[in-house]
Amino acid sequence: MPSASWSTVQLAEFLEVFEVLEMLDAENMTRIAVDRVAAAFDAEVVALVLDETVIRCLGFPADAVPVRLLRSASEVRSSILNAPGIGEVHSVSASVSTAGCTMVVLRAGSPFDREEETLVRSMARALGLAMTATDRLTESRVLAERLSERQYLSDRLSQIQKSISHRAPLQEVMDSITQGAAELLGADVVGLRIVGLGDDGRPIASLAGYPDEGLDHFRSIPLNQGFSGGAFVEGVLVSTGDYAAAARTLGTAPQELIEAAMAAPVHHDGRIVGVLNVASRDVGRVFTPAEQEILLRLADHASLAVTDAAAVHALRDSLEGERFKASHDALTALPNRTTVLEMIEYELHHADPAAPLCVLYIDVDRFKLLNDMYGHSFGDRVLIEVASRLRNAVREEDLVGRLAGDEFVVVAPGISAEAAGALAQRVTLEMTEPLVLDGRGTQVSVSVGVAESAAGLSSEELLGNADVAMYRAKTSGRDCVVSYDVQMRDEMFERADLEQEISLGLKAGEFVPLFQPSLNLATGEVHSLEALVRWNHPTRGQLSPDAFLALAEDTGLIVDIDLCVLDEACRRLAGWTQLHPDLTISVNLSVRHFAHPEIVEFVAEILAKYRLHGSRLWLEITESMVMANNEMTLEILRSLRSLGVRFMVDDFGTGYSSLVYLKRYPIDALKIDREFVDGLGNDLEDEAIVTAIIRLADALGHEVIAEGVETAAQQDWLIQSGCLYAQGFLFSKAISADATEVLLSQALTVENGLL
Amino acid sequence: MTATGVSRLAAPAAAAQEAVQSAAAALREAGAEPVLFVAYAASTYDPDLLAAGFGLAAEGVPLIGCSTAGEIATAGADDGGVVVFALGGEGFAVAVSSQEVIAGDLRGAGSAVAGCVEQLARRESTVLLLLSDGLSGDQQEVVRGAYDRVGAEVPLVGGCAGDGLRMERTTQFFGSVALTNAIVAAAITSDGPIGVGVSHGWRSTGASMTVTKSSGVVVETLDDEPALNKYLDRLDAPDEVRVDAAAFTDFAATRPIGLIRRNRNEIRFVAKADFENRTFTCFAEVPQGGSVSIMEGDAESVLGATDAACSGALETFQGNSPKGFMVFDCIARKGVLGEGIQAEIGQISEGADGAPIAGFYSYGEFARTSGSSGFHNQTLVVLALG
Repeated sequence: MPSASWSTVQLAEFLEVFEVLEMLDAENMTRIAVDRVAAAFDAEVVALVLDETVIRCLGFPADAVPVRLLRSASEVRSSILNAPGIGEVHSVSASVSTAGCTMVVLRAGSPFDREEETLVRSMARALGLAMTATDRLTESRVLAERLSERQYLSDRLSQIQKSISHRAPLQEVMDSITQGAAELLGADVVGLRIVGLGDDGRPIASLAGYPDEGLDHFRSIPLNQGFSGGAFVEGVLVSTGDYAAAARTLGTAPQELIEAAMAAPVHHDGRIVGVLNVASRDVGRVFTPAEQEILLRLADHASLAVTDAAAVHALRDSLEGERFKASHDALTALPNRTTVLEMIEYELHHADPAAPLCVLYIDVDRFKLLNDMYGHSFGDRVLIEVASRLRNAVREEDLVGRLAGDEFVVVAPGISAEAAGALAQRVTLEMTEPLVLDGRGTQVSVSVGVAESAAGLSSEELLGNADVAMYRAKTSGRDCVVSYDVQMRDEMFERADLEQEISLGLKAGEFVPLFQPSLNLATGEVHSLEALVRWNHPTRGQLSPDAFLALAEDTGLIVDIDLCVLDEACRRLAGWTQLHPDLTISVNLSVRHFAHPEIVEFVAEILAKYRLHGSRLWLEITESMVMANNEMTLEILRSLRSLGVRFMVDDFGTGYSSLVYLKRYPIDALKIDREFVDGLGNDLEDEAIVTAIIRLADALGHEVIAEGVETAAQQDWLIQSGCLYAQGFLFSKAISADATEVLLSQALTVENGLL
Repeated sequence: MTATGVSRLAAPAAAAQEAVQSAAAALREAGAEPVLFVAYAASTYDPDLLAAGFGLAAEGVPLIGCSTAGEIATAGADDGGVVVFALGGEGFAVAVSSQEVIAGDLRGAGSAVAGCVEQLARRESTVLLLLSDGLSGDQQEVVRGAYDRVGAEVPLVGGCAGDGLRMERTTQFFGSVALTNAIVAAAITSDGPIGVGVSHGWRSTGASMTVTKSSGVVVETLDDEPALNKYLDRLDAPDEVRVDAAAFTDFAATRPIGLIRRNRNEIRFVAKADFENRTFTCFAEVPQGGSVSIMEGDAESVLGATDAACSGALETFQGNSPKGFMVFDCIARKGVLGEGIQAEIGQISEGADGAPIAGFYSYGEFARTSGSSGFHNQTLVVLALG
């Protein structure tokens, strides 16, 4: 089906022809019109029939025009015919002029729909008007006067046309049509009403030659009533030179002093949607056929404007939909990052300096864990719930938006930093309510960063400040509110620099392991070596993990650092095999590895590369890691175990110390944290804990290693309590690979001295 | 019966003779006497020498032809040679004519050249083949003129001559004469079916724009902004295209505009830019007041159109194989297909079911089978002769 905009385009294009080619003679005018009509409808034949003759025909050779066929087609509005050389065709005819000229359009294939029939009529009428004007011109009566008259008509129509094509408001276009009608037709009163298009359901109305106060009354008159109602009901032009008599016939109250009147229908989408009516108070005035043509043409312009406005309306609706999509987050229907930034930018420019703008940057705590544990669709529903709770928590004037993932923002205008802090607290409080989804209860908390606008700050910067504060809230234990201060940003820049340096350091091979031996307390022999990472920083010297580990963990760079240390440690171990064939090494692995099964391949590859059996490698994992993770962790541990790799729980006793995981996971050794070892010999509680750990390990058949042994008293206590292995400054600090080699070659024992 | 002959000889007269003679020989070998030669030749040849060669080799049999932006033969696409399509046997009758365009009256020329149809005793199917100079103005006028003359009964088909994208001068051949700014035509009537298939494979992209000012083929403003600016900005054109005429032509070759028509878009090839007046020129009229879209296509959609054009051409064949295929393929499609161009010829060969194929890469295509419009851009037109 051709769309509404199609017919608008076609009519506009057609009308333009006459505006552009207004000086054409009738011969050329009809030729071009016929071409254009044929092109618009994909029609094979377009003919103009006047009385008995075909004055113009496209689609048949000149010597084979089927005059009779075209004449009969001109007599009915539409029909199906058999055209010579073409076959079955659909025919539509329309009156070109009141002088009896008819346009016939024939098309093979698809029949004409109502919209197309309407368009044929509009085009025929436009041609008729142009021809009338041309005929008058050629008649040369009062040539100069007519020329300027015609020029005036053309200019006026062109003005209206322009206001339509420039998409002026419909009311404005309607006003220009009534004004134009008043001037072109010398009418005293002109009215135009369109129904079904106004936003408020009222007809759109325009009056010329009548006070504006009359508009409401005019609007309220039903379109099918009165003299002009004939045009609305019948869909044709009605005209009278005896208005009083016409009104009497209709039984309606005649308007005072009106002598002559005419009205023409306005169409949209095949329906009559309005009426353009004109009236004159001049005694004896009769609207001539030429004037009737002008009214019809003006009504066509109104139809065109209505069709265009409806198309624009539809377009705007769809654009608004698109715009909403482009500016809002699909999941929560909250404004997206771009919109939030625009909003902040707007507020920054309009903010009252006395009551600045505050931004809350909100991040859902441990959202990734929720997602991993219960799946993305659960995660999505959590986000929807968080969005809804945020909306509840904020004031009416605040804007809630979603930036990305689990990050939300509240833009709070006209609020002090203090009040913003209170708002943020309200946000965290709103989240404390347990969340039950799919019968599964969970608790959601958020970390909130608050930042306040300041002179010269851009929207990006303000949001960035809130982000920095939010990050601080995260690192300070989550579920809390932190307000931004300048120092935080400096720290952030430092972090960014450090991150960059770590990346470069990794490429430059600056991360290397040192080795700290653990000893067999019974024999004094080296039991194992723990590889401990150090950063040989090009300007700051050798850095211990405190300087970079937290950031490396946050950014994920720890994964590469770990692998780098693992590789080098294994390489060294392989080199020491001759000296110490049973020597084992332990390497710390970040929790991050246990989210990706590839770690198994990496370890297998490294072992193969250095021809090491898996049993010579210990991987140290933390309690929290085993606690926080899931089936995948277990799977990875089992796979590594199948390579012969053994696992040691680092810092045992400081975390959850759940006996369940000790049973469930393939763990071979426990490391007693230095915190407890410190108290040996002087803190009964520490001693009790260490004793319990040693017994627990014993019961489970796990090895137990005491960390941080610094005194002979601690060593003695451990030996007496049955702890077989120990590591600490008492025996050796972490030393370089070369020093380790020396140590190993000297077959270091407790007896023959410490390094 | 049809046959093709090809030559890649460098000497124009020799190349023309070789191509015509090999087509004639193939036809005679199959027992048919030629009644028409249609020749397509690279624009790098000297046109007068080429025409002399054609005239000599045709030995009085009617010959029409034109220069190209690349030739198409059964063996594939080529650029730089001569391809000749020979039509012969009792099943066909032919009348030819030529007309130079006088004082820009393309419609008059179209009407005059179409007069050859009247010299034929029409058989079951008839078609009018037109080869014209696309650089001579609005080619829709040629169609209008021919349509005025022959009406809806006779389908129109053909293409606009090329000059290897130089856009300077094209040649139309008529017997031993090389013409420019002219139209040559052959009315072909057959005892068997004749079909014309048309397809382009482009789709509109982005919102439509109103042609707020145009005169004929020159588009001056779109949505009241200088047309060239609007076109370039919509396409986010690179800087080079904004200042360099050749770069613009290359760029625009695969970015046509489409006039919104009933149930379809009428494609307009954007031929050249006027950087000073900020306008651009198309190969056919872009009416003021109308709406246009920028069109896009890719190798897949363009190849899809190939199948559609072939099957369209064979619609009236009731499953029978054609005797020959003539193809008029817009040069811009070649730009989109790139290396895939041979795949297109492969698809056409499949459609032709082994029948000889000849054609050329054109600057605009003619195909009027329904309605009265029939000038196309960036389109593939297939003529199936049965």
